[in-house]
Amino acid sequence: MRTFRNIFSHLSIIFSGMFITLTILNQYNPGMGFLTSTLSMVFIFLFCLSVIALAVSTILDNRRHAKHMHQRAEEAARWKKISNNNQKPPQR
Amino acid sequence: MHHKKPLPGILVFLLDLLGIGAALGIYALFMFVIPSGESQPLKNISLHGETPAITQPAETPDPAASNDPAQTPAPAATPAAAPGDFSATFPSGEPDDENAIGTYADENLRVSISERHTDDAVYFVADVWVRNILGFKTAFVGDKYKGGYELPSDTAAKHSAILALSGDCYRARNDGIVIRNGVLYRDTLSGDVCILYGDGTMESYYESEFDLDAAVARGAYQGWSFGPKLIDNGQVPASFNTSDAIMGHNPRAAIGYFAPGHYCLVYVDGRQADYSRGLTIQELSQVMIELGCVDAYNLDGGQSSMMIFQGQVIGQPYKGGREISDILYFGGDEPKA
Repeated sequence: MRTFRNIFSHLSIIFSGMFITLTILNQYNPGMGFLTSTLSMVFIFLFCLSVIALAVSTILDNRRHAKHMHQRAEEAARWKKISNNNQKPPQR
Repeated sequence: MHHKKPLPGILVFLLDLLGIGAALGIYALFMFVIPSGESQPLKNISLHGETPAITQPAETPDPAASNDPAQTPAPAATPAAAPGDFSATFPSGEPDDENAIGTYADENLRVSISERHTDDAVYFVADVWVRNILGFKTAFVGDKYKGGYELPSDTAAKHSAILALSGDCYRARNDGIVIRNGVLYRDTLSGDVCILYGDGTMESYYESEFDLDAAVARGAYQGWSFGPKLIDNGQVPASFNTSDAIMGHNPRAAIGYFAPGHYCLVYVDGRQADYSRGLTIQELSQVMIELGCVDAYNLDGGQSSMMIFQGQVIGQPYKGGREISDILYFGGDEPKA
């Protein structure tokens, strides 16, 4: 999952850099259709797919991490309870 | 679990930059180098439109209207000239513009070029008369649609053009009407449109108002997409359908229309502070109106704009000009596409 997320992070950076460049070029010469051409639409679609994949993998990873932390917290609480019980003073 | 040592941050940054460069390279490759599949003409357009031109029949003289028997009836009206034939209005003799820096005249074409100045711009006006609409020609680089790029002066030389002007550089965009020498090559809209009809009239349209089917039915002969439209009902338009970057001072190429068979090409030098800053779209519109144009349209400007007269580049194109995909021209060879 981490490798997957790494790849899509870099893809997103690459597409972002590309579109920042195209946006600047488009300011100078909108007639060239840097942001409106069919090819740009294809790249925008790929960018969206990459961002969605990154977002989904990040959310899944975060959820798994949260679940793991929750389980650890529960386990810690259980151990604490056991350890507290073991430390009770002997009955008279 | 074994963990690999991560790459140094600077290397990751450089690799991402390299990726951005590669992505832009792939974009440029597909956008500008590899021609896309749809390079076939879409439609041949009848020069005189789908509806034949209707000429008014000569009026029959009313015998009761005149009591003078000696009066001979009016001769039958001469047949109307074919649409696109401007012999009736084509001027004879040499151009007599005393301010002209260059003139040309033959039996089918008359050109007179003059240099004009504003406070901070130098521009050139080519006044053009053609005897027939077929004398108003356009050419693609390589004589084929999506043929590539070259300097307008090279394209003009290959067609032995008497007068040529850089076109709309249709190839730089995937959209925008392209009609050349009576053939429709592209039918998608992108900005304002200018159409030269087979009957010699030229009209520019706002993008929202253009009807391609109507233009084809009327006999569109040439069609450009760059813009904006420069004259609206004889006035400078209240707003122009273009971006701020194009609105400013720039070198320009524009086409103006006076009457069927009578046009002007305007070329503006620019981006040279000590010589000519160029014209804004607003100023260009005003210039076209002052020239007497009924309609006018802005073509690809900036470094792309260039005017060529008898093999000589007129003025001082910015950085010597740029390779573009098409020209419009007069005289010389017949267009091959």
